[in-house]
Amino acid sequence: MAIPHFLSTGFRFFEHKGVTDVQTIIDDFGTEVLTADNAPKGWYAWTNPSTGVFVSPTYEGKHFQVTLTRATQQKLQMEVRDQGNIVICTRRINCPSANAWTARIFTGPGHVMIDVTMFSAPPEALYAGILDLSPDAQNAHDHYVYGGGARSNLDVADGNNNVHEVYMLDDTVAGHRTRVSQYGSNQNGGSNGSKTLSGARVYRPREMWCQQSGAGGTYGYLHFAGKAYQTLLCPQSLALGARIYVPIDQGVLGEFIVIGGVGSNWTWLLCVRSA
Amino acid sequence: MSIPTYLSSTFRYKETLAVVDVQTIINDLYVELVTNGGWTCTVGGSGQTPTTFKSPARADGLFLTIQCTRTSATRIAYVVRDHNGMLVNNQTDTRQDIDVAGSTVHYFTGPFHFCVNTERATPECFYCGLADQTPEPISIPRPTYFASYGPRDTSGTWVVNGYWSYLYIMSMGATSYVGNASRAILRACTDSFLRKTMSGALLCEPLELTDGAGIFMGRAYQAMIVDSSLAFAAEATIPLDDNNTGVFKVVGCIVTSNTKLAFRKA
Repeated sequence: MAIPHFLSTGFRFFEHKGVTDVQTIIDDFGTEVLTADNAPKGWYAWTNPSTGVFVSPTYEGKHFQVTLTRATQQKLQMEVRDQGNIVICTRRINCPSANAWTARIFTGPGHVMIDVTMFSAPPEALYAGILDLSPDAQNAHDHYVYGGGARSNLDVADGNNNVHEVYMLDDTVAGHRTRVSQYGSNQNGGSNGSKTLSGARVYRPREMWCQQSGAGGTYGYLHFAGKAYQTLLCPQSLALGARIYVPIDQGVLGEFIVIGGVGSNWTWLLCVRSA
Repeated sequence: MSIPTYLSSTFRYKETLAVVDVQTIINDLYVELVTNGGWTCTVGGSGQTPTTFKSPARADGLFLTIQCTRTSATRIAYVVRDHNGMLVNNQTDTRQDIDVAGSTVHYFTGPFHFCVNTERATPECFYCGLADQTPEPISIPRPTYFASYGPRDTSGTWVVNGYWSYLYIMSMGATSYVGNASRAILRACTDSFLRKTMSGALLCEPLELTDGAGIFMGRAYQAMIVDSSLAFAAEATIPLDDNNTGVFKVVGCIVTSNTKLAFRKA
């Protein structure tokens, strides 16, 4: 065996307790992605062409861009753009003013997750990334950037934010839909097989589907686009923020943290690599 | 990567043309299973009916038995039992037909899987096996046996809900095998989708078994779920790991959720 490709990229994790201004999160994010540059660990420095704009390194020929904006002291906005500068989504989180928060920042050449535990309110998250296109070649198509988050750019918690619902490009139109693989007893989705007979947890990659270029519209079939890097679906019975140890190869464990700010669906939650 | 356990077992494939008497099926199975496959024959034998085949014991000593009976020249009956003697295909027996004028028959066999497929205008398939429960240790807490719900019930009636994913399986806490529901885990995107990648490559996945209540019960050996756009008896070359491929042949079960089932041929 070997570690699956989508779990083989570099990754970093930073946790900041007691945050009271989203500018701190932007500053922390910049420190994480701009200063870390260590190829043997898979860390490749991002670029910062202008304030709040972060462009990922080109990894296997792919890259994406996020723009972080302090809308207010409590409101953080992330705009996600693909390699062709098309806006995939603009999403926000809204933190409480009554208390401080804990921000968890997960980064790598192919993924970004900002998960904020707010204590006096449900956690909220912003995320984006590129997909591992295997079994297709890594240059097989250009619909590989995804994103999402808790709220619209008008601060509305619109519900377009669960483990299966993601923003991507369908044909030429960016939008959200239930596009992540589900595991049920038929094509209508479901939640079968999240633990073994002995009770061991079953994990699944976060796989995404979208419409090919020229195959859009209501009747455009979705095709398999790829897997999110360093991200897994995990059973929703886990506590938000829990650190879990997942076998990613024979004799190799990866530490993942359960994400609080992306809603559960069909008994699955999301977890992202931390160690 | 390396080849996963459920694709690492030994396997055999045989095709016999123009079979006009199901005794030929029993005789062919004797050659495939007993002469060449490491199984034993505990009742009957080549040229006899009924004939019972016993699979080679797994590392933990477990096995399954399959009794094959010629009920007429064109109809064969199967009885599958687990190592405790419990009836896996829990309907007295499961039956399968060939044409009076003769049918081509495909055999897919190995120590842990068994599939007989008859080419007819509406092809018929019977399959059963013992699942690979990786990452669980074998037989802890208990093994998973399965058998297809169709193609025909004890009276010989075509099982209209004998979708390939309808399997006899013993759920957690159950005391018998039950078969009238889907027991395969199907990867799905709830919008209209094709089991193909963006570049058009076929997207295949293992036949993973569930009790229908959230429990992962293992994977069928040498079986793959494929897109229903593949024709019956079509052959697909599927990557087994980074360096190896296998050839899988589509068998004739009823389509489920735009999917078909294929077994390893080469």
